[in-house]
Amino acid sequence: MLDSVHMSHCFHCQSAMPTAQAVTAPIAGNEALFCCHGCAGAAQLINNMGLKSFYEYREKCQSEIPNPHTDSTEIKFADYASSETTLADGSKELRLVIPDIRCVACVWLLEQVLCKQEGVNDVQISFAKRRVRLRYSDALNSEALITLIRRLGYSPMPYREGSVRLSLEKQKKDMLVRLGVAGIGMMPVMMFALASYFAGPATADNAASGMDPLYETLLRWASLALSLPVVFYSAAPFHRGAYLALKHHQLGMDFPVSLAILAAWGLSVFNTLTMGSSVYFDTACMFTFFLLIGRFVELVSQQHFQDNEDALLKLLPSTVTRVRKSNGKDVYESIASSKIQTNDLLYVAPGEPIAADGIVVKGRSSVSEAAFTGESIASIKSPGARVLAGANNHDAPLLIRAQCPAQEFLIEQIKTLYDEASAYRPYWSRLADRASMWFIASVLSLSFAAGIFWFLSGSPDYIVIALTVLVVACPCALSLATPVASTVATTALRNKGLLIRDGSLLERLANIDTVVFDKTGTLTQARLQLIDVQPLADLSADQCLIIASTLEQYSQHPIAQAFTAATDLMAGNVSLSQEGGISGVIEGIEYRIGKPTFASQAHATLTPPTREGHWVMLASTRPLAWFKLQDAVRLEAGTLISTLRSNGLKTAILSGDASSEGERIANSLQVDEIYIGLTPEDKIAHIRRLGVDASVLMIGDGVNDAGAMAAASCSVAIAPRDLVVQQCADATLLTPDLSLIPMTLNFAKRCQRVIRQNITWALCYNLTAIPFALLGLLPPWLAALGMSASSVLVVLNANRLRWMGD
Amino acid sequence: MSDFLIAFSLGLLSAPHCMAMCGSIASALIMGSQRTPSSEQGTVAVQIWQNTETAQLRSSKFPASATTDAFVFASGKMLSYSLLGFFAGSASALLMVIGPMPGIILRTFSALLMIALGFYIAGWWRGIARLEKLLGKLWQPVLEKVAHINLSDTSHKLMAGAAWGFLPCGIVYSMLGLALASGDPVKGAFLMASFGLGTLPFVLGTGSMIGLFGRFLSNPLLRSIAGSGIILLGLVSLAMLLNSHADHASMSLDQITLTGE
Repeated sequence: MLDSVHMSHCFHCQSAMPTAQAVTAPIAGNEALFCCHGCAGAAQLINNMGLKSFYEYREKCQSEIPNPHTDSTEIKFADYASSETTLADGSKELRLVIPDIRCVACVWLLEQVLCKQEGVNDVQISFAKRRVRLRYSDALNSEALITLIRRLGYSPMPYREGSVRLSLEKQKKDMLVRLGVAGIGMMPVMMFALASYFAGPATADNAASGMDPLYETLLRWASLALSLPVVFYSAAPFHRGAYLALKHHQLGMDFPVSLAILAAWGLSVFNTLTMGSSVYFDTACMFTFFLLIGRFVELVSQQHFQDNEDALLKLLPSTVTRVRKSNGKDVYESIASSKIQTNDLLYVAPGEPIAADGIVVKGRSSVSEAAFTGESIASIKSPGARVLAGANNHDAPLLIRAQCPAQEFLIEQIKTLYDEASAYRPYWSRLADRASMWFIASVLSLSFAAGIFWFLSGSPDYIVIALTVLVVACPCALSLATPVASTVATTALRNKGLLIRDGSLLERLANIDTVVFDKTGTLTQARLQLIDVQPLADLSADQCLIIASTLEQYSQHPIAQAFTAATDLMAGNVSLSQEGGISGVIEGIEYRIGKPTFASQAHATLTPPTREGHWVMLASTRPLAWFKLQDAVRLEAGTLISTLRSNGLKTAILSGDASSEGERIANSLQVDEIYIGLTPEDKIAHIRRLGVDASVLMIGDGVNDAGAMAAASCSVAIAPRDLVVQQCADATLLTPDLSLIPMTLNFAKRCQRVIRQNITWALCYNLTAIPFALLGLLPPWLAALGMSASSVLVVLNANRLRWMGD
Repeated sequence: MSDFLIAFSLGLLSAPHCMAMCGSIASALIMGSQRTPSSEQGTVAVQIWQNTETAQLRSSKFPASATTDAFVFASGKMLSYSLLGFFAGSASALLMVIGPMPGIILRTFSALLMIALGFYIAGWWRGIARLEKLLGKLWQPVLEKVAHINLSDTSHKLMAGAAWGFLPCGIVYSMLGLALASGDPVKGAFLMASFGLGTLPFVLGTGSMIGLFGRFLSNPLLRSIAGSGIILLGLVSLAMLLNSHADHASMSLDQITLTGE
């Protein structure tokens, strides 16, 4: 391993070897080459401490770093074909990644230009993820759109899984180099400036301590040389951004910054050449350095979201073992996960991720669905249970039957929903974008005016003051204030298991004053429980229960789950009816269980003991017993309602069930209003009526709630079984944990609060700092630092939303 | 310009060299100290390495314990730097008893050394390498001591850090020139400590930064900029020395004649 290191690089620090004077030293028996004695010593130190394996692993790690050096201009149009899809209505959709979207103004620019194109129906741009989704009629082709985007100065790349991540990584590295150059260049320039500042010019009265004009000139030229790479390499992103916006007759966020840096530098060069009064090389360098720090922090926080999304992609295995019957024998074959079809039988080994949404056919194992529910504790899945692609199988092998093809897996839908939600930009953000254009224009004239004023009043610092105003007033924090917060919030909610389909939901949730629930499956578990047995003949309640349980174990119907008595009896000749009725022969006697009409036709007219609840009859030749079943209220429903009430929200239940069940539940939970026996149309009407003078949140789970959900101002679907419901609701709760509802409402309020804080802060910063800068009281370094700090503060404040809290 | 500021910025400017060299040492030491003593050497190290890698991916920083370790190592390193600075300062303090001349010579020597270091960092002239080789002989006894170090123990970690501080290194020797010119043991120790403080960001940050900086370390442009910065630091202190020389020399001569009376 050791001698496989490149001969032209130092064994320890891996920098290029000097041409002469290479040092050799024995490391673990081999002669290794070093660039200097320091490195040789270091390697000996590491080796002597028994850590030489470090070098091997380092090499291993570095060889695994992907190296995506594809220049975007080299990408052929054919490569974009994979990212273009045709939608159901015949229009086309193109997904692109544009890594050089630098600020919200870029998003605005792209939106403006693309929307104006004939044939483009919809443009969605996610600032945080640099992703663009275009929908356009099939008359338009992707080539024209891509060319257009390129002409704007951006480099669109076809969207592939992970390509965002790689380009972000690349960008981050690039930014770090720029930051490093700026930092290292700034340091001596600042020190020279300090030196000449403290020494002061050589005058008659301080001839001894003052600086000789010769040294002064030397320092100026040195500063000029050192600031060159800072101004033209490190600050290049600002200049580029400013230029591209100007080219399209826009004033970008980068413009004042770039102008300030270039003006400071240009004037200093002029003063150096003409031996003028003062130089501002340090100002130019500091602006660059501090502003780059702000950019870098933004970039890092974006990468965090990307990490989150990539985590979803990593859940799915790339290949899967399919089981096929061939000549009566099981044949195991390995196929790509994307090729999974409905009804494929798949084998999942313990410890492997589950590759498809399906039903367990064979086996019993604990499965964790942390990706969907945020709950990492595994639950037991036995035959009949539903499992989701991306969940993890823990203890034992499982055989599952896929329910849908790979494109329809829940996890795929989650990804799509997540993408769409994070592309949304809230009202505030849109407003801030529009406003910032005017803001920039006024900043420019303000700084110009300040310069003129101080020049006329004879201040020697008029240039510094003008530049400081330019930098301090740039509304970067303002334009960041909202998009960052809503992206963080969407991510936080997803991690808790609440999936937002529409990004505006958080804005609407914060204003909710009425919460309406569906009953079955939402407030109740939609799982029947046995609460009463009434024998009708000579058999005891226990005996009846055992017989019923024996029959019900052959059924998958919800009713069957209520019968859980232990039984060692066997039933023969079992047949199941459509309505959940079962008949079978136990020890020679035929028993039937189900509705009276099914169980005993002779006694079909028999009525249950009470009207309340759901009654099932067990019969042989005569009726044997009545079983009373009831839907159990979810454990957390009580606390949910009382929390909502204590938060001053009105609650209501809309139930499709006509029985008095609803009444009972409403009373026990103390819900304000209850309506029972409603058709889906009635539900919509009720929601509309409530919505006249209130903002309504509808929470439901079934297809019969879908209409009501669409009618409500916002809606949450709880662990829905049907895709339709999920598509109607604004948000989907992937786990049936109702306690997340009040938490989410609070979170939405908190999110709005954070956005307001951010905007207030950004405005306050700009409005208080500008007067100081105008008065010449603000040193330029503080202005640059302040501006970066306010951007960073906004990003950090938004990051508080990463933890949803309890 | 304060000598401390020079010492601190020398530490910062030596980044291109330091990141590559000290960064690797820091990573190796942290990796070693995260390994449980009972575990088998090879296999577990792989796991740890992979773990830290994923940890970096997730939060781009080492777990808390690794950061603490980095601090311990850095403290050890700074301790030995201060010790060296103390000795250099003491030596020159003794020399300065003779008169002002050794002080001026040492200051000139220190400025020249700094300029040479600038050339070395920039990769233009490797004169400093000779100094490293010469003084590197003193390093061998330290090397033998570290073979018994057990990285699971905090005091041993401190020792490993101290050993690190004694590595033959041109930058440290140039700094010692500055400490030597100070003529004061305490000032010498503090000078070296502030130099160590300047290198601290790279030692602490290496865990997360080494991967990112990997390719950019050997960037010739960066090395040239950093080198030029150091050369300029040297030139400035030389210029200031020459500038004040005339006044100071006459003043001290006055003092000497005064005390001589």
